[in-house]
Amino acid sequence: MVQIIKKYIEENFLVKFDKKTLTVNSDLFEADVIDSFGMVEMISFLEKEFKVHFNDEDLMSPKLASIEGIVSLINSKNNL
Amino acid sequence: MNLRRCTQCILPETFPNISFNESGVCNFCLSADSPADQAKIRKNLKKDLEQVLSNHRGQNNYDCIVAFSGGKDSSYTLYLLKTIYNMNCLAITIDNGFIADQAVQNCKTVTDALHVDHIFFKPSKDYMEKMYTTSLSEDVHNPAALKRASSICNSCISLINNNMIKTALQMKIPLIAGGYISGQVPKDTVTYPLNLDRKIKSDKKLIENYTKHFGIESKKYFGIESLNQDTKITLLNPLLAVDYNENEIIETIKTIGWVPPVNTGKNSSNCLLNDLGIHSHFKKFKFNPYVNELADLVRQGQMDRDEALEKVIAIPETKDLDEQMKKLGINDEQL
Repeated sequence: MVQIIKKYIEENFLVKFDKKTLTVNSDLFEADVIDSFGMVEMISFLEKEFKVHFNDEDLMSPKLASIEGIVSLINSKNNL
Repeated sequence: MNLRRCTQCILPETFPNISFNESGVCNFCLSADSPADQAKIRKNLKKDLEQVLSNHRGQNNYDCIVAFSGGKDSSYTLYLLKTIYNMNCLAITIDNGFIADQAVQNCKTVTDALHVDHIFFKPSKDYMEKMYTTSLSEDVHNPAALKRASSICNSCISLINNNMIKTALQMKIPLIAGGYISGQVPKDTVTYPLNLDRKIKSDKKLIENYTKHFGIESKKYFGIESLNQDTKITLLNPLLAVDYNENEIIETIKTIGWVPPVNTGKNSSNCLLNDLGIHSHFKKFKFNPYVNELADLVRQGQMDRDEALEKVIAIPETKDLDEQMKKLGINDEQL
């Protein structure tokens, strides 16, 4: 799941993940990778790709700011 | 410059991360929903919009702020919210110093005809000119933002959106509507709850970046941290929920006195600086910054391919941009 999300972000937000400046723990807003519109696009992708639905509460969740958080949120929705 | 383009939409080979299949169809078209499916999605999004509008109608002095440039799309958005949905709107226009005279007149004519209160806010000329010259000559925005719009448009949109949010918090207005169409913003943002915590977090980086590029005054125009954040704000992009047809929209707003400006280029109906942004963007990235939104309209069956192509293929030339460059004190080599 991590690799799929990383690939999506790299292709759509034209950035490169590395081990120092941008990692799966990085806050994508603080790192200026994603803005609010980018977030909506990504959520749409995540819903289609992982067959989950994010409700309004999820959209407000700080977990959506990093790949690690996103994975944790999707897993919790799938009861994994 | 002769560019290979998708045979279905109009995206060129220079667009980031594009690829074509053996028939010349781009990856964006291949992964898109069909026009019929997109129409179904819009129908559902329209229901969501109507529910949000219904929840807020008549609850406050103003139900909704409309970011109103005087251009065709924001004029139609204001028309829609006021006459079709009976919302009590406050129109706000940010005067960037480059609004065409006819567009200024349209702001007055349209708000008068719709009986809507209207605020004109003009940030300082010095700041706006610094913002534009720097946006043209330095790398200010992230690459993803530059797929959607030119650098100067991104700066301006950012300032406008921030001002709308500030005013909504100050005046406790729960809805903010824009005249954005598909391709300018994601399709799913017909209604979109604004996460203020997340905005404050991303604002920190944005203000730091803008202060570096545009100067210390950026702190005045961007950022909401010091404001009372009790108001829950929902952002609206009503045009994403309608069957967008540019010609029909223009015909509709003409009935309330809107007149198309003649000096704003092929892709704007209010800003005199727009063509300079297109010229600069094409020089750097080799694609017209409007190509993404127009390709999306083609993909949704809302604009003919030829009509869209006609809007992006002729890039404004330096000789036609003398006046704007002179006003900003820059030349073509600095772009």
